[in-house]
Amino acid sequence: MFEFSWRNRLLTLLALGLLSLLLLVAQHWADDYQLRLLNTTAVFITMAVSYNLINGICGQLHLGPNAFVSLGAYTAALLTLTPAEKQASFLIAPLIWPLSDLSLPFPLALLAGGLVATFFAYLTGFPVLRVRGDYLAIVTLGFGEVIRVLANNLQAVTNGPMGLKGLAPYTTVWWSMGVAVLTVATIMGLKNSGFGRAMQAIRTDETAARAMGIEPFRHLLLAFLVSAFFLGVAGGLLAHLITTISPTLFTFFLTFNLLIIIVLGGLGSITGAVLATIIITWGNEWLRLVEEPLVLGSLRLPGVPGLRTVIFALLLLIMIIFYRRGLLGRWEFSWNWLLEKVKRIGN
Amino acid sequence: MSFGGLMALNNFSLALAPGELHGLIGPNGAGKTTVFNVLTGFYQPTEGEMLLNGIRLNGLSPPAISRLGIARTFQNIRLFEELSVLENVLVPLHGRSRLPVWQAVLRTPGFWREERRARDQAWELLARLALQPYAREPAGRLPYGLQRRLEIARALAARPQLLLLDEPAAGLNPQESAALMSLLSALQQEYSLTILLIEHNMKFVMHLCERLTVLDHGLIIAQDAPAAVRTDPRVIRAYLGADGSA
Repeated sequence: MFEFSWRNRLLTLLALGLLSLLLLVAQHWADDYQLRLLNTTAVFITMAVSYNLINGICGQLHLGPNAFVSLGAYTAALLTLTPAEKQASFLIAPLIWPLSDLSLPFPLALLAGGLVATFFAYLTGFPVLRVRGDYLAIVTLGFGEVIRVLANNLQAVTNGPMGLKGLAPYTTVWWSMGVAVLTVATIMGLKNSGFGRAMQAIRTDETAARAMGIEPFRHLLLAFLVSAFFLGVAGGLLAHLITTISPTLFTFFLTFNLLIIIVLGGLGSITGAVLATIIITWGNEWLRLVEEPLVLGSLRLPGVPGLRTVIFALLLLIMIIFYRRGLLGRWEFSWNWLLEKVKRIGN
Repeated sequence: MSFGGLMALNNFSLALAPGELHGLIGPNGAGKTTVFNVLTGFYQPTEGEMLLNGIRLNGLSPPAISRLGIARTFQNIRLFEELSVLENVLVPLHGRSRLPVWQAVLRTPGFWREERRARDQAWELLARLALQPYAREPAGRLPYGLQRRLEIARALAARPQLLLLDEPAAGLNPQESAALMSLLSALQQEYSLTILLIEHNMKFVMHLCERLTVLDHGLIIAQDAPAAVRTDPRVIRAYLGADGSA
């Protein structure tokens, strides 16, 4: 339950302080690989938590988060590249004005990425949110594909299949973690309010929600916009983390990864999505083992590229068959719960 | 109200006085629930007019009608099963809230004020309906009788002037249904409600309601006080068959 408490607020601040300390240590002592992993985790937390708002909290099967990530990534990337850099990479067709001359600082570019994604969510929200269930899944899946095809073919905006290269590595752990914290706080705030209760009511029984004075369209559109904004910002962070983007980065495969994360964490649980992101991104690194040649005594197993994806697909299947509620189900971590546990152990 | 070629309700006319407890009865398939679905905006009437205190309801959506003051329960219980009992009652309160979303996200004092007020109202309702001990439990896990009562609590949270109850006593044993009867007449007084209820339990309806409307095949065959309806030959024919000898 959620009630105002200074104690909980203090604990949250303490946890944030601890996180900052951790980032400070990481910044100075961690190697590039570890920093990269930390950044990836943070960006995926942002994406998973905002995707979960639609799929978990509102209960609508949305299959197009890759579109919004892609919109954010391209927008932010086009805005941070200098005019000279842009001129150098757009070989087939020159970049259209005013993008060709525009150059913005990283934070503004991130914000622009989020806003462009939100704008597209607003445009598509009207047709998309009129349908439910399988139809919503198909329409959002289609939107994801449309954006990918556009990214491939709008040479004068996206540089086509060649993508954008040489982005500055602006995404530090501070940016990625800061955005992740902001996303979690925003969506947590939304969930633990009348708006979140209305969204969950729509998920459980839309007819009853309507009879109780809740406007489903208004609430779903709100969720769709908030989700798209953070997906867009995450796209901008991702672009400046890997410094090269191309349409192949934002295929349905990205959506599939996010779907695994939120199903594993428990649909509708924000803290579950955070936990699952950590498990999946780190697990993904450890599982590199299976793709490398393995020597067991006299036995020599060749590595199988792509085996990790198979393992994750199997994981999703097993989850759906045997443990549909995910790690945390609809349960949410809270300070009250933790203090209760601590007290019980103390006794 | 007609669906394609099927006339589900024909010439239905009902005027409820404020504070009236009115029963809607009739054999299965007579169109009783259709009346509720029309009144709450789930079906749009093909002809005719609906007014609530002079406000025209035709063409309004269910949420809009709910906010104007008509709340309902469902024949097959439709609670928000995964939400707690308390949250179920909080949902309709949000439907009437005007708090902008940024205030909820930023947790402004305005948000906390509204949240506290909603919670107070919800607790009050739960206390009134003796559901307080179950407040934190998922609604879907309550026993059947309590689920029926929670549906009433949730409907009351929408602050209705007109409360529509679809078979509130279905599946209740005689003691429970007697308790529900006294609860409903008490609530009707306390919240100054007008109640329209569908019920098959004749004892329940005859005791509780001041007037009855009897529907058969979408037509009103009687509209009168319970005592008069009971002896109406057309009602007896509709319930017991053509010759009334069964």
